[in-house]
Parts: sequence; structure tokens; C-alpha cells
Amino acid sequence: MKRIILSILSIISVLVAESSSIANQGDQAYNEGRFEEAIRLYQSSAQNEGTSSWLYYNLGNAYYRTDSIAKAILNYERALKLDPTNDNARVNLEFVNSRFNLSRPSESATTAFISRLTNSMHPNTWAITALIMFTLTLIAAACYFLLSKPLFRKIGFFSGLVLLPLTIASIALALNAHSRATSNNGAIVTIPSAQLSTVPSRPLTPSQQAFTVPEGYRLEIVDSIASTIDNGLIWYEVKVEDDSRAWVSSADVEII
Amino acid sequence: MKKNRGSSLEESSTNPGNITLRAPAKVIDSPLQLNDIFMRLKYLYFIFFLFSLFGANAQVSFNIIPPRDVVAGQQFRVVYRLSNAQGSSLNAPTVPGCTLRFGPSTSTSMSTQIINGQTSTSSSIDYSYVYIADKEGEYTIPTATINVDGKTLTADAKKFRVLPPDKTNPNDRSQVSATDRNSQTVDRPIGKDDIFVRVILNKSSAFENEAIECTLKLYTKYEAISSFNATSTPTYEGFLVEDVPVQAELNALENYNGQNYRTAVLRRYILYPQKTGSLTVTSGSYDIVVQQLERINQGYFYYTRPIEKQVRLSEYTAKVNVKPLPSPAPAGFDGAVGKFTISSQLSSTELKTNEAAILTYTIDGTGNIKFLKDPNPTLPTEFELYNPSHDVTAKVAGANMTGRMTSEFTFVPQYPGTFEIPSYDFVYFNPSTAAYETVKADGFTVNVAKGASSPSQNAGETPGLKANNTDIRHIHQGEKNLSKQHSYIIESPIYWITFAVLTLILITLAIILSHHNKKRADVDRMRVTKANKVARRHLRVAEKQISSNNTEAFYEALLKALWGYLGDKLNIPASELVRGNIAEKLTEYGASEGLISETLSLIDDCEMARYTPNAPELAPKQLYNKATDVINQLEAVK
Repeated sequence: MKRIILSILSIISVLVAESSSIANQGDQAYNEGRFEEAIRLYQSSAQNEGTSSWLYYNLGNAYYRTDSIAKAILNYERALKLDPTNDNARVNLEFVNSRFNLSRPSESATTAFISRLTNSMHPNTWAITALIMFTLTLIAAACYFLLSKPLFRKIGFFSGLVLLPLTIASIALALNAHSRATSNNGAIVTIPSAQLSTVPSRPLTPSQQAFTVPEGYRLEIVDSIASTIDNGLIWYEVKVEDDSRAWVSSADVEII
Repeated sequence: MKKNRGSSLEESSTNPGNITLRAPAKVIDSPLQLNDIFMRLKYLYFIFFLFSLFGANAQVSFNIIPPRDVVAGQQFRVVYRLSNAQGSSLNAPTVPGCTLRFGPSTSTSMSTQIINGQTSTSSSIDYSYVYIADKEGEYTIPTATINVDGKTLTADAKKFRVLPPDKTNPNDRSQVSATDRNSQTVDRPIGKDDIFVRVILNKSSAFENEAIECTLKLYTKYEAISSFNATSTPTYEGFLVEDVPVQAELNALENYNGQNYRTAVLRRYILYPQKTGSLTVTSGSYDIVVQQLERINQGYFYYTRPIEKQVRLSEYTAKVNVKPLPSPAPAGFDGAVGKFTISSQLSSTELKTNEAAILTYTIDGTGNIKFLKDPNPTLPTEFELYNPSHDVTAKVAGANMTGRMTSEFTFVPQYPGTFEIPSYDFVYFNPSTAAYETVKADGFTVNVAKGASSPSQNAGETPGLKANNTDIRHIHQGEKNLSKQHSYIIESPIYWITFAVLTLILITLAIILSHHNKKRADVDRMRVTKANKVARRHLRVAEKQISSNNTEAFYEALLKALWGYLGDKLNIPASELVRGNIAEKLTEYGASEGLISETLSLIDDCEMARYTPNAPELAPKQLYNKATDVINQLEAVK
């Protein structure tokens, strides 16, 4: 039995060592200025050993260094999707966005607050927080309902009064964080400038041209449809600023 | 006001007619007029001698004055002028190629000037020879010598041009000649070729910003011009214009298109084209009044009088083809076209923080110097740089402008240390080689020592760090926690089951507890309902003891009945059942004051009887009755 455990441990350690060695080679290539090679190594690491927020972050940096703006933004977004608390990824994403004038119009204060709150913790941390909050609320309820001593009952009542909304909020935030982490709605424009059309096909007349969006711009996908004109090419209906909708070809964007 | 009085006595006559145009000293070439001069000389000699008494301290010189406006086949005069001396034995060889007609004739002139009380006198003797040249071309007047007070003075050889005669058109009898005033008669129309304004550009094609000399020149056969007005101004579209001041005066004869004209430079410009392509310069149009002669027959002789005639000159245009500068322009090129040098000076290389220093760039050269932009050197960002002061001094030299541009950059070092002011490359386009050229201004190494802090810093206003450049953050090195699957707790059923389980636990607890409570409540109720019964039983025991006269047992039974009843009725555990809290509990129970005091006194009496040797006030029978009564009353409270 002991032997088996030992061998499993050794296999795991070998795996860990190997995985870190590919990614670390990427780090080394990056540090030495061989950014193309760093990209290749990070990608192979992602394929063989799995991904992480940090890996996407480093990959984004390497792409930025090779002037692949869209790819850099895409990977920063992926890094943030995996771990919204990755401050470095957020800072670099904002840096690249502002440098290439890709910053989106600022959202309303409430929305901004909610999204900041949601992104302040990892979805799993939110889930655990919600569970702890729920447990505390139950304890407070138990105090109120089950104990006969008035002091304990009072404590139970008022702490329950405070804890219940917090529990509901944290469950909502945990769900929100999870949906953000797993949604496939974000897409980054990967071509120098994408022509959005009003119909799910290439705009044929000027009246079908809706928006022109620059490389690296983030679009929110609402719906998708297989075009009957372009050999079954998938077209995404995207939200552009506020309530405007337009269609973009899946060839022009990459989903985060 | 300064007194400036000048008197001039000169032989030459002033030109009649116009104000703006001054004709050169008129050449007197007929023998008749020469004789006239000799007549005048008689008076002049006297004056000359008078003034020579003041001592001729003026410069002695001997020159050849070459003739102007010489046309082949016409007479001209060569003058040897001796100034401020008396000469003898003039040796003037004849001009080769020309035929001497007459000479030498001598004329003397003298002038005296009194300026602010100072008298200066000058005199001159002219020896004139009249020649005729048969052919056009360039001729040389050979060196001449003259003896003055035993010394030999030499006049340098001079050259002059002989112009061809006007090309005559045999069919056109109305042709006017510039040199023959008699041909300028009223009956001849003033043709387009007789008077006009030309725009002369010194090059037909130029690079952008390359200097082009532009001259507006009047060509006229009529020398007598009594008025000259511009009716429209010249236009220079697409050019930067630098006006060169000229004094308009009628110049020597010039042969243009086979005709001889008197010319006058009206205006001169240096033009810097700003656009490429074919650009046009126009002369503007002019109204000119010229004088023609009218011959009037008075029997035996004629005389002439001038008649004014107005002529409108049409606009003359000239085109220049402007080529763009070669592309791509090298980095640092900022529109300078010409030939330049650059130098740099720094007020001091030992500086202190918060003390201003001056970096000066000086650009010397020829070209569009007046329109140069300031250099933009890259100073260390630790220096606070102010806008440069710009100064240009330039003047027209030939067909371009030459001068110096200085740019003074004032800067204040903010931090101590050693800094490098890099050398500055000034790039200009040289049109003569059609290539970009670079000249370098030296850089400096500056040592900045800590100086006095500025007032603003004293006020506690420390400037924040200023980023020169910002970049993305560096990659994350080391462990990256790679994993192939990214799972979320929220997705697992166990997570939600935990919620359910916790809720269930609470509910179960609640059920169990409530069940338990219910049971306990039942026990209590039983106790209360049974209280009376138990008490009665104890009372009956006590009653028995009265009959058997066992007082001690009686009191014990009576106390048991009372305490038991209170404990059961008020639901007080035996441990808490003391006299002290009976009153409180009874109040809570709802008993009246009287009943409570009655109960307490009863208990006190019983205990007194039971535990002390003192006999109670009341007999056992009475105590029994009272206890029964109290219990009944308590029973009746609810």
C-alpha cells in the first residue's frame, strides 16, 4: 500500500516538474526576448499540461510583445475569465485597451459596482462564502427559533436579519461569478477591422453595413446562426454599445 | 533739430520730368553743347581757385569713366577724370576697335559742401574723347596715366559693352528708338514693344522651398516718363515672398528681342514656392504717362514741345515648375532648403537644480532661413524645458537669403546628477546637389549639483513621480497552477446538497426540540393540575397529626403541603424554592399583595413552629384552616 502511494506521488511530481518546465521554458524565452518561441512554448504547455490564468496572462504578454494586439487582448481576457482576481492581467488589458483606444464606454455606476464586486473574488471563493453565509444564517435562525432564553433569541433574530440579505447577495454573486466564468459570450475581433452587418451575411450594399470595429474590440454575443449564403458559416449576433445589435462573421472574431 | 545745410555746385544738369525715375547724367555728345561747356568754364575757374584756397585736403584720384548706352554706329564719350588735383601730360591710348572722332576736350567741375559748418571742397577735371564703334561687342579702355606734381597716377582699364542697333523692320516706319529722342514723336503710336513690364525669374524649375529670384523690370524706349501708377499689384500665389528693397531708376540700355530699351528694376523678390506644380507670377498692370515730342513749325525753324500720352501696360506672367522634394524625407527633416551649418552652445555644463540654463542652437546659411522651424532637441526628461526664443537675422545676398537663426532653449534641471544632452542632427535639402544633407550640432554632458529648492517645493508641494514610459506588467514566473479542467464548486451537486442538508438539520433540530418542549409542557401542566391534589393529601396527613397530637409531624406535613403546592403551582424546581423568591413568583403568578403576605406569614409561622421551641401564636387547628384557606385562594387566582 505504502509503495503504491509513493509511486503515485512520484508520478505526480514528475508531471508537475514537466509541466512547469515547458511553461518555465516559455518564461525563459520571454525573458530573453524570444517572444515567438515563448508563444509556441506557452501554447504547447496549454495543450499538454493544461491552462491557468497565469499561463494565459504570460501568453498575452508574449503576443503583445510581437504586436499581435488582438491575440494579446484575447489571452488577457481568458486569464481574467479563469481568475477575475488576476490584477496583472486586468492592468495589462486596460493598458493595451487604452493604448489602442479600445476602451469601451463606461458602464453605469451600479453595473460597475456589481461587476467589481463579482470580480473581487474567484467564483469558488464566492461559492464558499455563500455557503458560510447560509450556514451562519441557519445558526441565527436556530438561535431564534429553538432557544428559549430571550437574549439568545434576540441575538439570533437581529443577526439573522443582517445575515439573510447577505446570504442572498452572496449566492447571487456566486451565481453571477460562475456565469461570467463559464459564459462564452465574449468575442474579440481578430482582423484589422471587422465590418459588422445588419444581416447575418456579408454586407452587400452600403445600407447593410452597421459598424466598423477595430482589431481587439470586445463584442458580446447574443445569438448565433449558420448562414445559408456563406457555406454555412456561423454568424454571431452581437451587442454593440447599449442596445445596438449587429451581426459578425465567426471568421472575424475569436471567442474568449 | 540738426542743421543740415548743403549747397552744391555741379556742372551736370538734373534730369527734367519725373520724380520716381531718375535718369543718369545725360551724355552730351554734340560739339555744339561742348562749346557751351567751355563758355561756362570761364566762370567756374574763378570759383575753383577761390575754394582751392581752403586747402584741397580731399582724396586725389584718377579714373576712367566708361561710357553707358553705347550703340554701334553712334558716338560715345570716354572720360578720364582726375579728382582734386591738377595734372599734366595725360597718356590715354586710344580704345582698340573704335574710331576716335574728337578729343581730348577738358571740363572742370567743382563742388563745395558745407555740412554743419564744415566746409569740404572737391574738384575734378574731365578729359573727354569722343569715339564711334562700328560693331557690337565688348571693348576695353586701356590703362591711362597722368602726371600730378611729378608723380604718375594710373587709371585702371575699364570695359564697356556696345549694343547692336535696333533691328529695323523696313515695313514699319513708325519704329521708335530709345537712343533717338527725335524719333519719339506724337504721330507714332506707342506700341506694345515700346514699353512693357517683364517678370524675370532666375530659374524655370525649382524645388519646393528653393529660393527663386523674381525681378519686375520696366522696359521702355521712352525715357521721359511723367507718371507711373500700378493699377493692380503683382500676384505670387503659392509662394512665400521676401521683398528686396530696390530703388527704381532708369538703367543703362539693354538689348531685348533685338531692340534697345532703357530699363528700370521696379521690384525684386525672393520667392519660396510652397506648392508643387506649375506656379505663376504676374507683374500686375500699370498706367504710365510718357512724353512724346510734337514738332511745331514756326516758319524758318522748328521747335518741339512734349505731349503727354497715357499707356496702359498689360499684365505679364511668368511660370515656374516647382518639383517636390525627393521622398522619403529623412527623419529630422523639417523643411529647410538651402545650405546650412549648425552649432550649439550651452551656458554652462556645471549646473544646479532649479537654476535656469540656456542651450542655444545657431543655424547659419543660405536658403529659407527666415522660415526655418526651431530645432527640437531631445533633452533629458529631468529637465523642465521652456519654449525656445527664436531670432532670425537675414539679408538678401544674390538670388537668395543669407543669415543666421538662433533658437534659445531655456531649461531648468529638476534633479541632480550627470545628464547627456545628445548631439542634434539638422537635416536640410540642398537644391544644388538635389540631396538631403545632415549637419551635426555637438551634444553636451551636464553635471547638475543640488541647488536651492524652489519655492513651490518649500510650500510642501512635492511633485509626484512622473513616468517617462509605461509598459505592460511583466510575466508571472514560477508556478502557474496549470490544470486541464477548471471546475467550479457551484457546479457540483454536493454544494447544493450541503445547503439542503444544512436546512434539513435545522428543521430536524426544530422538530426534535419542539417535540421535547411539548412533552415538558405536558409534565408542567400535570404538575399544576396535580398541585391541589398533592397539597390536599399532605393536608390530610397533617389533619391526622392534629388528632394524634404529634405537632412536629403536623408542622412538617403542613410545610410539605405548602412548599409542594407552591413549587408545583408556580413551576419552580425544588432547588430554587426558597422564601426569598416566593413573593416574586407569586406576583408573576398574579396573586394579590394581601394573599402574598398571608402566604408568607403562614410559611413563617409554620417554620417558626417547626424549627424553634417557641410556640406559635395560632393553634395547629387554626394553622391548618389558614393553610387550607390560602391554598384555596391561590387556587382561585386564575
